[in-house]
Amino acid sequence: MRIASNARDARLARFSYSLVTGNHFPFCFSFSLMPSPLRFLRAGPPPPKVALLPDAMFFTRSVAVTSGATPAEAASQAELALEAVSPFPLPQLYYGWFWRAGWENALVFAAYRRRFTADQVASWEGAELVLPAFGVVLGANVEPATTLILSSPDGLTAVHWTTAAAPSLVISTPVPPEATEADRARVRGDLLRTVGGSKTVLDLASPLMPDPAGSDRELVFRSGDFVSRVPRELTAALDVRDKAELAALRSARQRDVWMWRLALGCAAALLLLLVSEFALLGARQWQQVRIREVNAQKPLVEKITGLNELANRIDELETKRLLPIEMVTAIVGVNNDRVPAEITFTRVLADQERLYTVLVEGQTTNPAQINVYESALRALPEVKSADAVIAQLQGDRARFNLTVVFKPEGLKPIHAVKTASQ
Amino acid sequence: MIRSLRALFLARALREKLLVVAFIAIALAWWGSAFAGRTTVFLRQQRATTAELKVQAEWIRNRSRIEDTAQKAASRLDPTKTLNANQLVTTVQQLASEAGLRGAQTDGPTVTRRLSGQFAAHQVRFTIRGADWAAITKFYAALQQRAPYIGVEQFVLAAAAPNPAHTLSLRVASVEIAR
Repeated sequence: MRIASNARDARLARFSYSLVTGNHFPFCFSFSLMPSPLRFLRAGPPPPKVALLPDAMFFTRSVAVTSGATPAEAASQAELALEAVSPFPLPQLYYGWFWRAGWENALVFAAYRRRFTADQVASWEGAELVLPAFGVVLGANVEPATTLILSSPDGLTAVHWTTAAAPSLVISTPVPPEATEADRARVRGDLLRTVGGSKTVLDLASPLMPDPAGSDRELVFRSGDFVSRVPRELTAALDVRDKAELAALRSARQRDVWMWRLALGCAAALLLLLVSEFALLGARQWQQVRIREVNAQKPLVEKITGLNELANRIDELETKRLLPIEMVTAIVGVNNDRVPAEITFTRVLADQERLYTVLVEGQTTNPAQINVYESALRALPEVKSADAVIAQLQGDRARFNLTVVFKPEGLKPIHAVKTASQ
Repeated sequence: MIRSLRALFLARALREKLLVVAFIAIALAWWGSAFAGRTTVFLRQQRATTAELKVQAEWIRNRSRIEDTAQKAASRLDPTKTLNANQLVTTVQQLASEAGLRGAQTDGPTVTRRLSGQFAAHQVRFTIRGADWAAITKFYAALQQRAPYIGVEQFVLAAAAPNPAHTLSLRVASVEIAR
């Protein structure tokens, strides 16, 4: 297995090293390699972890896909085609395919699982994408009749696009490490002849490397000016790992992204709280100013309220006088002639708060007289309302509460009456 | 920067991610709760101050009208006839005696409220036991004749049924214009 490396990018070199050695947390656990936090933040995210497998270990085919197929239908058709052309059942293969919606062909590729050692497979752990090296060029935009030659120490691979839409042919030829440049040139020529019909031939001196500039929507691979953009939704099909394992990885990834969003949301809320604390601090200063204003105005306001109360008191003393004797006299009559003989008053209360109201507590040996008396009071011209409620009844004896409200104009002060009569 | 942090976060082990999220969430809950409490207290104070300022502004806006009304009301009283706290007690006591009510006694101290500058209002509670109706009406008429310098604010008359004598509780008030 060959792991992508990029001499231009030290971080990528560390990443590649970590992928080989299984240490996937170079920033946290390798203090000698860890950049300063500020430099780390400025540097941007590291490139995605991608394991590139030797092309020579894979066989490739272009298979037909029904027009208008959905991704699920295309996947099942690609798998069916693979089963048909492969001497091994699918569970014994590492396989993938490249297909976009609307295409009528898919490029499928597969390798026998036993060609990879357990150590090689273990080293894929933590990789975002595992695919043959030619897989990363499949997202490139090229002219029709273009052949791309990928060169690696252990072989040459030709990827040919008959139309610009999708690569139609991938051929890989191993080259022994001791081969000379002339040998490699001869193999290249053989590849181009085999492919045939190439108007444009692109030779990539160095393999395509994952670019940190990728996003959540696509993976970007770059070699010099040559760029290949692989949409994220296609990576599931391109990845050659076990599909069930991939589904679990995708699910874990989705969970991690949600956790990140949650953490980010909480962090944003904390930031908002910090801003709000400053706002509250400012608001408290403003409140202090207002409290000082209240305190400064308090003596003046107390003086004004005092004057207002004085005016009200004098007005009450002059015009809103409580007339309790007048009210009692009105309900009992001048010679007690309005009260039935069986009714006795035990308590009479009049208060300035309810100026024209008298509350009477009474008792009687004839409870029926309470209603009679209440009706008699209601009939008086100076009475606005009279309400009697029996509070307690014991045998013939009843205690009752009587509330009588007078009309303001119905009561005349005694001394005023006397003065008028004099 | 966010993308760098995101990559760093996603590269952590699950337990580390959980710890980070839990710590941030706890910090948020703790701080948020404390902040909410302080904000609630502040808003309550702010609303109270706003209301008080509004009330004060209303009083100040009506200042001249209230001063005029108070001035006119005070001008209707003869300062020499207004009663201070002691005069109120002694005058009521005297009127009760003159009406034949011997058992008049104050019930608690005189309550004085300083209204503004030279003005004050006084209140005192009297209890008179063993009073007959005729004496009560005579006393009441005498009190009314002293209006507006003396006012009756509360009147409670209690009687035991077979007993013709009553117990009278009165709260009387006066306004004092200090000379």
